[in-house]
Amino acid sequence: MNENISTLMDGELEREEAMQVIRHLGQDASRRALWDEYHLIGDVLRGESSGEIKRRQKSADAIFARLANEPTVLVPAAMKTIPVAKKTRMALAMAASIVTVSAIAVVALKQQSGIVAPVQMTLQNGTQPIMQVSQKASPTTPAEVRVNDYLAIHRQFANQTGFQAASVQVDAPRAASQGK
Amino acid sequence: MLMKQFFAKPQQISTCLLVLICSVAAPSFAQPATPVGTKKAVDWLDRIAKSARELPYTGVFVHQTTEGTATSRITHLVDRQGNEHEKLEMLDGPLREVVRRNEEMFCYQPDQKTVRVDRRATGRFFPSLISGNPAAITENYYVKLGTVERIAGHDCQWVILEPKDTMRYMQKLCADLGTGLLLRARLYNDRSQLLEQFMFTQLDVTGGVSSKNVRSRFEEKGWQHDHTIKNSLKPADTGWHVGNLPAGFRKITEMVRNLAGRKEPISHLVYSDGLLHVSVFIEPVVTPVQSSNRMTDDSAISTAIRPVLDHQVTVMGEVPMAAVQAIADSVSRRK
Repeated sequence: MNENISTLMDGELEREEAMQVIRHLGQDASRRALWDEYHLIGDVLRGESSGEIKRRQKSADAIFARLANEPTVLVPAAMKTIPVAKKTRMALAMAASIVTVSAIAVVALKQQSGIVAPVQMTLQNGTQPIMQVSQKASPTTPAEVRVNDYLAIHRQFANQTGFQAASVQVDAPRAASQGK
Repeated sequence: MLMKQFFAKPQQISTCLLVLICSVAAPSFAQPATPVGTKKAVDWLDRIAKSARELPYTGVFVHQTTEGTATSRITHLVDRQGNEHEKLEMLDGPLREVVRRNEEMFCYQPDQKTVRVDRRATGRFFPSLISGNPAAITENYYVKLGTVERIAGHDCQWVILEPKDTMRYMQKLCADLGTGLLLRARLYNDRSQLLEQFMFTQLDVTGGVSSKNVRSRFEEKGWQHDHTIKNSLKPADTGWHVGNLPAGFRKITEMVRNLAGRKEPISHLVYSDGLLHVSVFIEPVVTPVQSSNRMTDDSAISTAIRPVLDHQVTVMGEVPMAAVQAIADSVSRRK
């Protein structure tokens, strides 16, 4: 089964087999986790540190859940509605373009109002109103710089991850030039 | 008779103590009684904490956040004198090695031919994620044993830590059945979405680690050591105080540190519930800041900024926004 998942990802599975694997994925969360992991491994092997893993996981979950509820239609035409391989490629291409941005913006803090933090928005109910600062307009106001420095300290030597190390790195020359 | 008296006293004292402890602890036991399996789960937390600290091991692990993944090789050894040595090689991105000797950290940066020296205070360092007393952790998390799985060629026991309140996140830890070493660790937000994951993809715990393996390959290069960070660190009573600390969080350290480009030193207080860390930074400012709450791009670190007197208070940690807010809203000058 696990082998079938990776073959499906490569787009090399016969249609009937593909349908069967997709149905399994729809019914079994642990297999879906495997599907996500294979993608992750793929990303790492390709040297793409993929962003949006969470979003992809969510959309994949939704797709598989819908497919699992659909009646089995064993006609070739059914394949046309599920261009899995194509979808995967699109997701990867999307992830790649996001990575370029996030490599630069990794220590930039996102505002509470964004899509990123719907969770915390619910927690905010009933607490004091929060100032909205437009971070894009002035990305290096003193307060922003401070917060990024603090983040670097809190994460300490980049918390073992290369991309965060880069952010600590960025601080050094700027700070040096400010000092003299 | 004498004997009887002798024994009676401690008993009375202990009874008094027991009553006292019970009455103090009563409110925190409003939750259902501890499940029977908890003892076993706590033993696992003990093993996880100890093995990461004491065993020799070497392996490759992946750190995954919503922002991306990074692969590192870790080598760990405790010498005869009981000093802990650890070498971390970043396998992605620019060449980087971090060597740790107990709490002292040396970051080798070949592109700048420098070694930055710092002290460990906040970082979450896999597989050593448990810093607190395992029994104390159960006061704030329901600890349950999960399934046994195979990870990186090792049989692995899942231990699930569910928060008892909204001040921390759920964590799932998977430890090697044989040695107790963490093979995988996951951090979830309150909607059970994965925020962060560490996982070994290859691990050797059979003991072939020598002191040579925990030294940086750049050690002999004679690069300049940049002590600015470490020298600026001064353990100190900063005079600041958090009035409303979420349950289970304790102050780990308190220091004053200089930051490049700032004239005034900043105060840095670190709090932990034994698993997660919160940093409180306090810096004098001329223009008062406005209150705001933010998340990092990877959604793992919540940040709250508040003006307090003539200072900017910044609280951040891998905890829910509610926790950093509670802390930020209660920072004050100690009387």
